[in-house]
Amino acid sequence: MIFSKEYVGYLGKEVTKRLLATQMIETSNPAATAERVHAALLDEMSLEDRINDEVRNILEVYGDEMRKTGANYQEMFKKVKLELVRKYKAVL
Amino acid sequence: MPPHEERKPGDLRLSRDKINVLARGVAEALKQADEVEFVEDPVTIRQEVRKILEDLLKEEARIDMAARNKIESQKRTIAEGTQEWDILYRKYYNEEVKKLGI
Repeated sequence: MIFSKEYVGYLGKEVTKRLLATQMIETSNPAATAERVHAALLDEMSLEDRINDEVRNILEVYGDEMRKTGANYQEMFKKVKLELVRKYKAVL
Repeated sequence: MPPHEERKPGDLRLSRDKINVLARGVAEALKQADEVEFVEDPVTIRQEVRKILEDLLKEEARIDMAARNKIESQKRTIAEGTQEWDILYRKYYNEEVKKLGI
């Protein structure tokens, strides 16, 4: 994830604060709302990390085969990652 | 910023598409929240979230630029990608972020 969790927490608080200030939403619990916004942002922002982890797991399973065929790890990583991005319709 | 495009200092660190997806996710999370009531319609709220995120990310891009400029202003050249550059960048970046009260 390119931003720290603390920074994403700051984004969550600021988005909530500004939505309340402009009277777009009302909330009975601003802290809980900020935490929900934080969680939504964190979930989407960490998507690429989860995809990268899945790619590594897949390549680990095929490690022996790749070594036998002399396949290049970085190229395989890119190919598998592209497939997963398409599969999940992810926006990175 | 799409992966195939080179990011220039000052550019937002997320693409417009990604910001749109984030705004959609936030609007959906707010819609599901029991403690939240929408005063405006969901589309307006999503657009406002996108605008807020863009403003905040412009602020973040300024922090990024400030950290890079501090490194550039060093008496000797420190090449980006080196461990020394990374350490200095993190130090200067965190100094700027602290000013936001994080």
